[in-house]
Amino acid sequence: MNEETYLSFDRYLANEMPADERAAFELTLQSDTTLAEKLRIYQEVQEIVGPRYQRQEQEFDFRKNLASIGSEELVERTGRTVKMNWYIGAAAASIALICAFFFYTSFSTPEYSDYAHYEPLALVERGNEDASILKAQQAFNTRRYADAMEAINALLKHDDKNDALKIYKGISLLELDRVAEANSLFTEVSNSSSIYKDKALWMLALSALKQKDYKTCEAFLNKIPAGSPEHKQAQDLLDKL
Amino acid sequence: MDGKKPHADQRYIDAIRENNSDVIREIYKKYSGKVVAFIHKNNGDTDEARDIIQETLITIYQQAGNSLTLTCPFDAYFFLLCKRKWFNKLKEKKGVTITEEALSVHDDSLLHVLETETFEAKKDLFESKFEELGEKCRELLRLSFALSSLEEVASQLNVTYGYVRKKKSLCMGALTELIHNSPAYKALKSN
Repeated sequence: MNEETYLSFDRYLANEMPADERAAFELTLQSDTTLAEKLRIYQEVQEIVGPRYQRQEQEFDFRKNLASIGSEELVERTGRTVKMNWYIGAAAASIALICAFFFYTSFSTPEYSDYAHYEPLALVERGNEDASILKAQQAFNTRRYADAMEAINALLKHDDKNDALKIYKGISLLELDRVAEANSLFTEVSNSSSIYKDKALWMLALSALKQKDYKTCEAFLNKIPAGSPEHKQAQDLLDKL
Repeated sequence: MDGKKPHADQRYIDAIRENNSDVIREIYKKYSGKVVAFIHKNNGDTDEARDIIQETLITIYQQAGNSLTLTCPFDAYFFLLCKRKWFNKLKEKKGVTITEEALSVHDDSLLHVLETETFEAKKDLFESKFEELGEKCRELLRLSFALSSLEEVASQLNVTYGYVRKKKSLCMGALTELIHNSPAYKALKSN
């Protein structure tokens, strides 16, 4: 197909052909099935792909809304509503997976690096291939923290209440040794009523540990209540301090 | 489905398009149980059911942004879409037996389902071929889809309107060729 063909598709679909040229073009379409097929594809791409780009942000909101409603309202066959545990809900809601840490018991003085092993960031849910989410995830998981922070910032622009994103941004900042900024984010989340508030306390403790400020570290660890998913690892670290 | 009056359940489609949380909750309350039961009966669990429902609603959302007029009950349309999506997933797994259950299909609902599945297959194909274009073409097309006029695209890229318009047609042409020559398109055509 030469360039002229596609320029004529464009003029034909925009209704810009003079009547005689239009009639001749339509006659060609009738006899040339390949040309007709390609015109159809050209038109369908505009109709199907176009609106998705126009509605990108709305679709992002819709997916988020769906994940949260789906985690609350799904009806089991018995007729009861199955609510998910918050952490599964959080993953499904494409906010984030919990940070998990490996424990090293052989060190006498605990170090930040002993605890700073983060579970890969998993923001992308099945069927959701949003490019900006993927970028954040890949950057974080390959420890490119500067890139990760930039990508997470872009996500936060559309989702400034997302505490999981704030935690991951904080971790990235901490890894980049931008401690004050990291602490300010962790403090913000720890003072909220978010499900991530204990995780934020844990991160504040790790941040202090990184500065070898054991007293502050201890103080934050003591604030993590029993029953919290962070409690066990907090006690474990307290024992070693 | 042209020319037919929309079914009263069109309100669900409109609500999905508008991201109306109250109605989406209603859909989950009324219709998710049947899908969960079906998936349980066919080698799946609750989490898989949750995913299938979510993916189905996203497909409906995407098609509704294009055009979708329902002339059958939502229940039949939604359930059949979920069911077929699940069967497609099962086909990917090996060694799984499928317990087909008797299902009376409202004629229109099957037509709608096929229409939605074709929409989804085309969307996936178009978007995957889009990624094969050169970076310049992708950027120009993305902008021309997202912005309301080619004049805006021209000013954003700091080029003339004439250039944008011509380049857009040529990039669309390249994309059309990629799609037309793909085996997936041939398979779609023969369906």
